[in-house]
Amino acid sequence: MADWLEQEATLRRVAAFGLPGQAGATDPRSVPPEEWPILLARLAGRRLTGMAVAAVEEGWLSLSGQQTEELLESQRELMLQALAMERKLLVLDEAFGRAGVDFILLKGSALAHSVYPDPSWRPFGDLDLMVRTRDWRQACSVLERFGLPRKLPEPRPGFDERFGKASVHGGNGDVEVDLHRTLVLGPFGLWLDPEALFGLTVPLSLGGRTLRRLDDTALLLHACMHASLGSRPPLLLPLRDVAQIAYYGEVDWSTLGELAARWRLGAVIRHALQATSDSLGITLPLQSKTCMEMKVRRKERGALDAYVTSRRGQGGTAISTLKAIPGVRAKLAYLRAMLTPDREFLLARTEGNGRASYARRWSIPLRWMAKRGR
Amino acid sequence: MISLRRSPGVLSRRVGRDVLLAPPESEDFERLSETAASAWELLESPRTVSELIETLAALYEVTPATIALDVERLVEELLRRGAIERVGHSNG
Repeated sequence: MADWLEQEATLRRVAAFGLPGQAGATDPRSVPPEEWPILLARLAGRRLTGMAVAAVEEGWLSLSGQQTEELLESQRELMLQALAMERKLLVLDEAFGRAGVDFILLKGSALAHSVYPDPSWRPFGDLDLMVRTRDWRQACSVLERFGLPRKLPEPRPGFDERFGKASVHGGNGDVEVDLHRTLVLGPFGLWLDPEALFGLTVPLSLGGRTLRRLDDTALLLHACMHASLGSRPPLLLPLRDVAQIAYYGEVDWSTLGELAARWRLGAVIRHALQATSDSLGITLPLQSKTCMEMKVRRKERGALDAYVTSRRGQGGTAISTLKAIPGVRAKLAYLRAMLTPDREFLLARTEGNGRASYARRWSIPLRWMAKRGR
Repeated sequence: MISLRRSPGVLSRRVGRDVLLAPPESEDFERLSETAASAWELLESPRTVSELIETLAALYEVTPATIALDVERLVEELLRRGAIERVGHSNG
């Protein structure tokens, strides 16, 4: 247990490597041989190998020659994966252009080529592209034409455009594309205006092509959403993204506050900034103080709790989504899709294990209720 | 004078002292080891072959003559694979 905790501390140190505002010891940490295989697997699993390599180069992490070689091999694998995805991205950019579909490059690749000192610091496991809702179907068709069909059908026809966040596309290769129409599933995704994000972009040059990514302020907004709402507890890499943009991005903090107020994201941003500071053991730039002290409405706090508390595993996000959907008819449509989705959707959810059944589907909310009753 | 520079369509990543390349119109990846990786890094801005040889010689503290042949071979290889391209005009 002590080893595990010490490894956790090392992972956090690696995730904070090179950031200003760090408190505490910065002596090089060496890794005992018996701990190394697990630590390496955890570094790779959390996609922190790029920062670990940089930490070794700076003498901040002390590894043996063999350990360094294994770290580099692991990083090489992740970088080959990133290059394969970016190669596909360039092909898709051309295809989307021909189809007249604008897209914004989100997360991994966009962060790697903008706010980090070197793209190798920021591995990523998929491509995240955001399109306008009106272009959604056409974008799905483009991906299918390029051997990237949807992995999971939507619960009912039209569900994605009304309530969905993204569809996951992948083929036989190792490239996976998340096609977004908003930034997050649930109330926060419904409250923000995805169309407005297309006005908050800047060019990004990659492989001789000019793509679009979110500007640094919107990039931080999205990084905060991903850090707070993506996993519970927040993962180290998304927290590092928050710190990286906060320190090195050209963030307009007052615009960030305005966007947060307009899209009810104050609680999310505050939570992400606090989690970043606590987990990485750093003090964030002074300008972030205004966002840390933002007034948050009860409704926002309640919606955030559905992601960051035990409610998450008890249907919290589905219930808060239902609350956030405006109008009775739309709420009923959402409920209907959740409770009686198409058979094709049910079948895909079983992943080949068992029969598609409504009884099984309905047992999920019953289990949530039982958990809540305990 | 003809200079060389990285092809804009090439994607790359540094891994330790090596550089991984994903040249355009290819399914393969290239791995450039230390000296070749340094040459690649230097070609972020256009340089002639002579300039490249001189800069690398200074970097590795050897005489230009020692590495000239290796650098010329590397340049030919990178050109063949589409990783770098020629820019500028010949004087004559």
